[in-house]
Amino acid sequence: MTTTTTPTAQITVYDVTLRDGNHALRHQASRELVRDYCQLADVSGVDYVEVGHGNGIGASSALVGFSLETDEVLLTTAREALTRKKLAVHCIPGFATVERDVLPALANGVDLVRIGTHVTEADTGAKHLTAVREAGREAVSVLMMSHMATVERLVEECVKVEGFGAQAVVLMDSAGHFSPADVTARISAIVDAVGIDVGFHAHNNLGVGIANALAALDAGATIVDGSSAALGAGAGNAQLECLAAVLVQEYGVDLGELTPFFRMGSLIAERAAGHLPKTTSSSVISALAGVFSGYAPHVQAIAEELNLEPALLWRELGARKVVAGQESIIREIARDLMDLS
Amino acid sequence: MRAAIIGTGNIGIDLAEKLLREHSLELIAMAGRRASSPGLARFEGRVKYLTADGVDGLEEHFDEIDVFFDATSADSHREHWKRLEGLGKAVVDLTPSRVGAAFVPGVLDHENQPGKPIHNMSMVTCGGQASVPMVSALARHVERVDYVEVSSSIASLSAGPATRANIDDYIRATENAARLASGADVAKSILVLNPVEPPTIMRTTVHMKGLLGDLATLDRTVRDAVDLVREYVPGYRLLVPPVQHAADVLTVSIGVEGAGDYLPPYAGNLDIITAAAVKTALDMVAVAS
Repeated sequence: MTTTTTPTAQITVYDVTLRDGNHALRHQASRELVRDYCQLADVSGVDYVEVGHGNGIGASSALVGFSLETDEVLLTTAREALTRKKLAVHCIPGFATVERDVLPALANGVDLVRIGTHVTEADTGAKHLTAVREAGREAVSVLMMSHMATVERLVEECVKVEGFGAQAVVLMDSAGHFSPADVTARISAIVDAVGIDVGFHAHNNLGVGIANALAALDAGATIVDGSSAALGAGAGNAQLECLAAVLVQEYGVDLGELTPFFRMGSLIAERAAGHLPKTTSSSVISALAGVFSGYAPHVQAIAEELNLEPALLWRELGARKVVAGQESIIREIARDLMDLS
Repeated sequence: MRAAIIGTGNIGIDLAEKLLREHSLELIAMAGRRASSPGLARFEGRVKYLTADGVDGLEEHFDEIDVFFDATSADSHREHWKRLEGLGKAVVDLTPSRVGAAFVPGVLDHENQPGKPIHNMSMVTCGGQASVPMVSALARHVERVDYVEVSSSIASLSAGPATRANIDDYIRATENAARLASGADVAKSILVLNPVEPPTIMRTTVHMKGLLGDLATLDRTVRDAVDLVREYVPGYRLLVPPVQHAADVLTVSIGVEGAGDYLPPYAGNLDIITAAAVKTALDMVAVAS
């Protein structure tokens, strides 16, 4: 590595294993898994543990998949196991409402809420951000599918969320579409434009998840997302064990002992065996098409049911520029393709 | 019957264009909040009274107005209703306030919604108007409904500031209507905004969970229900007919293209709620005459 070591680096490590990883588990994370994982994470160098359905609180649904456990069970279980670390949730306005989902999550002891919107639609989260701030908890804005906006538009949205009261803004590469140079350009521009902390959330569809996370840090991001055993949607996230090792070795970040990270990785490798994400031809195709990684199991299922080539579906989904939450369009597209052929 | 519209945003303008074509309804007044509102300028010379003072500005014409259409926001409607309730005139609410009974032409009216003021008709939401006819048709023929879910995607450009700022109001009103139309204990609604260029039409998917029964019957029922909606929303169409997923889940997808009265045809979400409001008012005229 040729990165400059900054020994004073204050980097926030944000663990998404039990939330983004729930995509890989088809939202079937059990209370036992949450408890056991949180007990290990509690003595690790992570700062936040995010828990929930893959699409966040209030997202259990026929459209994207029903959760095995309720939000309440997931959060109270995690809260009980986390005595030192902060508990966080993801929240997508349009799925989750303040009254039904956000306030109960706060009542269950959530410290931080990430309000996730499609990259160009940040204003739909203003009310949710305000509700979290008013409750005295941390409110962070997440711009999902960030590859779908120009750098200029991205910066505009980041400035907007700072105005709404977001305490940090996190860029999600939800489709795993970026290369390190893309990340550098975007994070640099955002860091120049806003006064709040900036974070980055990688997906590994092109095999550059860790490289992208490091590019973000080098460009001035101070929050970095990782997932044990890379458990996450699509080809998974930046693998937390690797990320932690590099942060300690190359960036001089004080994460304490690395052993807990390895235990967390091993626990997930064991409990999620059969669901561990891999970078496959299909994940590369979906990344190039720029489609949300969470679509993968739905595309797979419909392709099998109707005997279609998944690549055809990915390309058509990409051409239509679908966003997260439009999973029901896959069947419509499949039918269109079949009528054509 | 003489009508007034409160609100000169996307919905108010689209509604005004529709009302101006009707013979049994006369649009005599529109109230906005800004003198510079493009909505007011558009109807200069076409609508008798135009005011930038909101409901206050309509007060001197209250006697001439038989029906009020509220095309503002849920919060504003709650305020407006305090002023209008005592007049005893019909109020058609195009915001997701849930002040009045949820109305969907031919499907939901005051029946089975006790406690709702008799003069207030709530048009629910665009997603409610698009999904409830399907939900109701399916619910009549499945053996038991345990859960109903309606998810919609609309073009970003068609979602005005009130919708964006109050997406929770949308969700609650849509869920309430889906519950009423299905009899399910639990209803869920999801809304997604898609900024794709060129903008895409509105899509609504209904998921129903329960004891399903005969799929061929459900297919026919759904197609008949689509035809009924098409009578007042010509751009309403079936995208995916009823498909059974698991043993207990079925899905129907609908597309809504608008008539292009104000925003271009992609804004089916605008068209379906204004068309439903006009239909509701026309039904009232028919009963009165």
